[in-house]
Amino acid sequence: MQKLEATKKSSGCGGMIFGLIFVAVGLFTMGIIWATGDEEASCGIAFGGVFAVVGALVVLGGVWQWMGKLKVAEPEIFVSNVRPRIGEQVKVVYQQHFKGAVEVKDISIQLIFRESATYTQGTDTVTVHHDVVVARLNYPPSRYPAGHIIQDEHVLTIPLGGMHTFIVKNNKLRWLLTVKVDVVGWADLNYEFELKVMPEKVE
Amino acid sequence: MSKADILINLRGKPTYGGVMWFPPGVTLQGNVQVIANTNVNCRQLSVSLLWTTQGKGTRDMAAIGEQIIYRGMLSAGTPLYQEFAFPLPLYPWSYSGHYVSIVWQILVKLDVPWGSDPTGRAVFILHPNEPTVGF
Repeated sequence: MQKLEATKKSSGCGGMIFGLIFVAVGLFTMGIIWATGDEEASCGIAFGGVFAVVGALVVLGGVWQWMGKLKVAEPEIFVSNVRPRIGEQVKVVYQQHFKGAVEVKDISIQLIFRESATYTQGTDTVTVHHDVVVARLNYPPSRYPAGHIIQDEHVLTIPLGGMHTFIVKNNKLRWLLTVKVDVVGWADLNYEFELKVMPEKVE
Repeated sequence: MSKADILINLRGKPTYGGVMWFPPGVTLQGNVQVIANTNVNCRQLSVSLLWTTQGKGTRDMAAIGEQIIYRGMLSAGTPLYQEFAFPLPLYPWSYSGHYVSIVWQILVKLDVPWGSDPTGRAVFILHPNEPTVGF
């Protein structure tokens, strides 16, 4: 079995940094206007205040997500073949460690075929995705004590009529294993792991 | 009016809509017929094997091979026939999706002085499975 590294994980750090910048800009703006002593600057102070409040909310969201990760470790995915062929059955071992006691509403593991297209619109670069869920596994709601480890083996099949992985600059066709852990009271934890499906068919 | 008309004929297995199908790794064979509408000095007549993406994203493409099959004068009304062959790669397979499609084609370009170059193209399907419906 080979371990897959997560290609995308929800950390909350990005949101926290973004929010802190907003708070800093808002407070700085308020401070500058306050220091000038202009009595008609209430609009500017209100504008800075709104900036700071929005930033604080974003920071709280990031902290909320980060706190969830203190209780639920990053999932580990092992597969029988990281480069499966079209039509191949892949054994998937899902391992999940709970660092703290949690109530989990849902855990879902999905095999997804994702199309991604990048294009420019004016000065912006936009990427759109289209996901096809090929297989889905769900765990029922449950309470897990601190230290509990889920370790299950599943078998997923790359469909015979499927397409191989294709990655070029602006257009991508990718196969992903996604894990979503929905913890009651905390932000959802989302992870993606990539399989490179080869342009060969199982005989 | 274009300086020449270009017809491309691929020798493969026709599928839905008349598009030819080829499995990966085989040799694609075909011929091109060029009929000049005026006397033309053909600097070169090239045949390219390429794939392009189509759909929402900015186009990606790759030319897999190119052959120069003729250089010289083309007389008005006199057809020129030339054969070509390309070994096909194993991938990428032809694909038609929601945002992304992969289209294989043979592109023929007649390079002429003083004017736009007449071109012709023939789309085909590269896939291990013979399509039962249109890609």
